[in-house]
Formats: sequence, C-alpha cells, structure tokens
Amino acid sequence: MADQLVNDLLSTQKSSDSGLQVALHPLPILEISDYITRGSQRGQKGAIVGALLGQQNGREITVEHSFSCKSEKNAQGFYELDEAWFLARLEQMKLVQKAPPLELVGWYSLVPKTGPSPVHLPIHKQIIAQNESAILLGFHVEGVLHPVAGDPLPLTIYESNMEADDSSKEDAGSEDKEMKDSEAPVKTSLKFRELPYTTETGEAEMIAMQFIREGGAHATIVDDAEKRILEQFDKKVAVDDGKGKRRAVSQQESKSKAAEAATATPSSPTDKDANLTKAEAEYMSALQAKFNAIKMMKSRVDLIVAYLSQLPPDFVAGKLTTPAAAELARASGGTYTVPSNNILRQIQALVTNIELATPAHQETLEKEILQETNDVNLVSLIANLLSSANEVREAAKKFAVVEAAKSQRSRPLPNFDTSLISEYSRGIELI
Amino acid sequence: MELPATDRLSDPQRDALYNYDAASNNAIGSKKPWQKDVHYFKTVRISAVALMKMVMHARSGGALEVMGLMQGYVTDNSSGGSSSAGSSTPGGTLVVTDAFRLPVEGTETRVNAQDDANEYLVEYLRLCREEGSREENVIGWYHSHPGYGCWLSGIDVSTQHLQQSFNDPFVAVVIDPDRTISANKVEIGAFRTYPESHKAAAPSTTGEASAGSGSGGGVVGQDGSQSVPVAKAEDFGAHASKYYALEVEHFKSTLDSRLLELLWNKYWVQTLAQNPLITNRDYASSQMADLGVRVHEAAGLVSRTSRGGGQGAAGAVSAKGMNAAMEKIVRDVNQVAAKERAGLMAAEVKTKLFGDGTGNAPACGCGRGGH
Repeated sequence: MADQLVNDLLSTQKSSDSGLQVALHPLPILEISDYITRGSQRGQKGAIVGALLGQQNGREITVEHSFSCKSEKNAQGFYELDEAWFLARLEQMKLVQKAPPLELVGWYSLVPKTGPSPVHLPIHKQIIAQNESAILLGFHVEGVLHPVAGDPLPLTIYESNMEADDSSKEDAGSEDKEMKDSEAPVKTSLKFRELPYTTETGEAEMIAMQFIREGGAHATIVDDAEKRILEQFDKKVAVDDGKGKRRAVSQQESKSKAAEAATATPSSPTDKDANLTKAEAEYMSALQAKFNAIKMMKSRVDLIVAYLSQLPPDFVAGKLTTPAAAELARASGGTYTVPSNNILRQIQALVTNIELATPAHQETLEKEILQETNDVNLVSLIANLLSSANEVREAAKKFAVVEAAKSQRSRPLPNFDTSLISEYSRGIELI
Repeated sequence: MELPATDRLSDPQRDALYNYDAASNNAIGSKKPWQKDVHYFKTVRISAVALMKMVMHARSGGALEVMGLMQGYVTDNSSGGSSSAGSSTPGGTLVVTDAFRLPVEGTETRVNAQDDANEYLVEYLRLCREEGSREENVIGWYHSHPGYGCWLSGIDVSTQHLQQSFNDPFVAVVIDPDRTISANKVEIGAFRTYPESHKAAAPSTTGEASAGSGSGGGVVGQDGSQSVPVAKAEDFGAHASKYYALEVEHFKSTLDSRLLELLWNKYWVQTLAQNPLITNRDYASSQMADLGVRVHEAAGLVSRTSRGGGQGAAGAVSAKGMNAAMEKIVRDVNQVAAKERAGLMAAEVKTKLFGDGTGNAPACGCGRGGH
C-alpha cells in the first residue's frame, strides 16, 4: 500500500481481481528502449508516447508490438495524441499485422514510480475510446537511472476502471456495504490499478534475443581506418606486436584509436585478436547469465525454506488443523507464516520430483558426460592445431621473403633485411 | 511524459549510432562514393529493434515469403575519432535503425513490390515525418527465404539492381526463419548487386564472397555453409556472381543491454536447465563437417600454389585469396570451439549444482508460475 505519496489516481481497492492477464513480449520493450535512446540522442522535446498492439482473447491480453505516436500539447498544457495521425498509423499496422491479427490493446509512456498522474489522463481517455480495457504500460525512468539491485523490469502495467469516489477509501471489497439508493448519483472517476504481468517469448524471439545479447557490439561509430590497416600483411605484425598492448588498452577507458577499435569492433572480422576477445566476452556473459540464474534459484529456494521454517510449531507438531493454524499465524502478525495445504502439497511434490529426477544408470550418464567433455576438448585442440598451422604458413612466407632477399646479394638493402629478419623471428616465436 | 533532462539514459559514445545527423547524411548523399567503387559498402549494422522486427516478421510468414523495408543511413566511417594517416580509404557502412512490414504476399519467388506496397510506403513515410522522431530514409529492403538459405534469387537480383539504380544507397537483406530455428541462431545475409558493366570474374577482396572462384561460387552464408537445396540450386548458381555479400553486424544501445539483462534473468529456469551441447549438436556437427571440407580445399590450394612458385602476380593474387580463406577457417573453427566450451561449461555447472558430481537437472516441480 502506498503510504508515502498518496496518488489519487491509484485505486485503493485490493489488487486486481478483474482477472485480466497480460503477457508481455520482448519486442515492445526493445522498441520503447529504442525510442528513449533515440529521443535522448536526438534531443527530443516532446512526450515519449506510443501505442501497444497485441491480441485480446477475453481476459488474456498479449502485448506483441508497439509504435511511437505523435502527440502535442493541448490547450490545457497536457499531451494529447494527434487523432488523425494515430488512426492512420493504426490502420497501417492492422493491415500488415495479420498473422496473428493484432489490435490496439493499450499505450505506453514514461510514468513515475508513484504511478500515473493527471498528465496521463487525456491520452488514456483517447485510447479508452478505442478499446475499453486498454492498459497503460508505464516505463519508470528512475528505475533505469537509479537501479536498485534485484529490480525487475522497470515497467508497470496499469489497468483502469471507473470507480466510485466515496466508499473507495475504506472497506473496499468488504461484504458490508451500505445499500445505496439507486437514484442517488454516484461519482465515479478513472482509477488505475497495477496489473501483474508475465513475460512471454516465442521461439524465434528467444533466438533473436540471444543473438542480440551475444553480439557484444555497442553502437559506436567504428573507425574504419583501423580495420584497413589490419588487412594489410605488413601491419599484421604491428597488431601481433601490440597484442599484449592491445588487450591491456581495451580494458581502459582511453580514447586512443586502438582502444576505440578494440572496444568498438569486438566482432571485426579481420582482427584475429578481436575474435578471441569476442569469444571471451561471450563466455563471460554466459557465465554471468549462469551466475544470475543460480542467484535467482537460490533466492527462490531460500524463500521456500524460510516459509517452512517459520510455520507455527504447533502446526508442525500436528496439534492444530490447518485453518486453525492459519488463524494463529495471521494473528501473530508476521512471526509465523500462514500454512496452506495447497502450498505444502506443492512443496511435497517438488521434493518428490527431485528424487525422481536422479537418473537410474549413473555409469551411463557419467560415461556420456565424459564423452561430451572429450568431444569439446577435441574441438579445442583442432582449433589450436589449425591456428598453429596458419601461423606456420605465415612464418614460412616470411622466411621465403627473407631467403629471396638474401639471395639478391647484388642489391644489398641492409635495412630491408634486418627488419624482415626481426619480423621472421617474431613470427617463429608466435608458434 | 517527456524525457528527463539527464544524459545518463544513453551514452553519447556507445549509442552514437542512434543519433541522426541529417547534414552529414546529405553530404554523403551528394558525394555518392558508392558510384565509383562497386565494393564501397562492406558492412551492414542492424539495430536490435530492426533485427527483432525482421525475424518476427519472417517467422510469422510461415512458409510464405514476406517482405518489408528498412530505414537508416550510411556512414563512411571517416568521422568520429582521429583518422589515421591518410593512407587508407574509408569504407562504407549501412546502418539500419528500423524496419517495417509491407502488405505484400509473397508466393514462391515472386516478391515484388506492387502498387499496394507503394501506397503503403508513401503513407508510412509521411506519417514518420509528421511524427518527427525518425527522420531516416529508406535504406534497403528485407525478405525471407523460408528454409532455403540466405542468397538472392534471379528476381531478387533484378529488384535490387533496380533499386540500386534509382534509390542508392540501398541494401538487400535476406532472412531464413526456418534455419534460424533449427540452427538456434539468426540466419541473415546482406547483399548488394554489381552494376551490369562490372566484370564479376575478378575475385573479391573481402574474402566473404567467392564470386568467380568457380567452385560452386556464390555467396557464403554467415556460418560459412553453402547448402542450398537442390531445387533452388540452379537459380542460386545462375546469379551468384552478380552480387556480393556484406558483413552483418548488429548493435544495441546501453539501455537495450540493461533491459535485456533484466529480461534474461526471468528465463533463469531455462538458463540452468538447458544443455547447449545437445541443442546445438546437429548444428555443430554440420559446422565441423563443412570446416573439414574447406580445410581439405585449402590444403589442395596450398600445395598447388607452392608448387607453382610463390612469386609472380598470379601467385600473389591466389596467395591473398588463400590467406583470406585460411583466416576464415581459423576464425570459424575458433568460434565453434568457443561455443562448445561454453556448452561444456553449462553442463559442468549443472552437474556440480544438482548432483554429487553425476546428476542431471531436476525439473522445477514447484507449481508457482511467473518465474
């Protein structure tokens, strides 16, 4: 319950029993983020407002697509959508989104964590006119600027309802309401309510997201000149020469060209060195993902353990029935957790399933794991072999050049010679 | 509702591509360096949003080809950061910042824009200009080849050729949604056609396309494999020398990275439970087999050129092509090895976490949703 700043627009009724279920797909999130980044880079002055498209089947809403919208300040200084523009664009979207057919399900904007404020009302009313159960997706910029560890996505989905003004303060949803005179006019106003949502991802979306995540490339302007240098045979030595240097530089925030190239083109094809870095970067992000996943699992497991360990002891000893123990727990005001047969049954199922998942044939499993490990190591060795073979070729090429130069005793070019010899020896070192 | 007045939402250096400088874009537009150099454009950089939209569009089409357009701009990479001592010429990059669908139904290989599409396009761009947040021009088109790989068919080549004549700079992007799913990574390629007068017999210097190399020629996909189904092979082979492939990179903003990280944490169950070694087994095997063939070819090439003597212009040229081929092989094999190592790491994490050194991951049996 928001007790600090009471937002009049937030409903004080208990959280949504309307049964609306929202499934959010990753594309709208990316689109909003793209809009914000674009706006921030290009100095956008207007409002960040857009429409959400999805499917609505009864109480289930999916949010699959989105597009930014043109808005202007109206006479009162609040933002409103340009109706003509909006309807035209909506028609276009409907025309191309046919499989599956998408419709307008809501809109998004920047919303403070405290919830929607009167500035959001005019547009919301415009959207409601199109779809009565439209939702508002509020993006919390503070969540991005001041992230709290363990923050879920910095967005909240609100649904709106017209609610009666007076009785909404206390006793909301309780049984004993005064029977109102049907003739007495009831003042209603628009109130928002937070709606829990799930994130859903299709197979293709998951693959695209993984692809996007893995490419470590940031949107820096790549200085192509560096790439060109790398393509030329002579300068490759410079790269190898600076191998140690290059790596070190890429970790610093220096503005030198080498650093820019190293950090900005981790996927540059002609830079053999950067390839390693990219693989390492991918490895690291995979490790990070695993770490986060394990942390998440641990927190969930801890939650279950905490729940179990704080059950009322009488209940655990079997002296109380579940409803009685539930009463006791609620009355204890937080010391004990409320036992519920449903939850306990699920925990029991979890424990049983863990035992079931232990494989019957340990040796076969171990053998297979060993095989996998061997295969992977084999592939690594092959990779090393090929790299070495390539480097031998390089060294041999330089050797051939040196030999050719040496054999031309009629035109001695001492400088030429020594430089090549040093390159040649460096090449040999690399193997 | 407006953006807060902070510069911490996006990083001017790391999100530089999201900015759009109409003035410099017009400058490049009037210089038209791509007219002098048919290989001017070497790279396409696609934003996360555009990529996601295109992949989803391709997937939603099922077995039908779908088509759309992309918005963006070109850079010549000579701006930003100190330029080197002027010996190198800047190359061209096409930056794709957004993509949108066209209401065109593709049937087999007939993916042409028709009047409907033109109307849609004009209206779409008009609305974009009115809205004002995206001023970029149309920079290319994309379409899907469900199941038969990323390359340009005869019709695609003529379409792209036309576009390059009138609407340059323009790039063609092809996505294969079926192979994306089966290979577990996005199958995408970007191409530009040569003008009619260009003699495509000369081997390209990028090493990406082997136009005119003779050995089945044509375009190498992102992963190096060249498997085109027999039914389409003729169409593929007939036109393969008329275009070249560009390197496809993708980028995302700092905000994108953060949000994706948060989103990814919601998939923690799958992260822990999956075994990428098994999921990618088919793909990795096909990769290794393909690499084997290429190593064999390269070995043959090496012995031939070494016997013919390494000197002389011809030797130098083929040596250079060989260098590039070797480089590519080494890169690809390193990539496969890296993926395998990552998969092994995942498997090891699982065993350590869930077993006493031997168990597999149990299914999460707690019936709570939303995690």
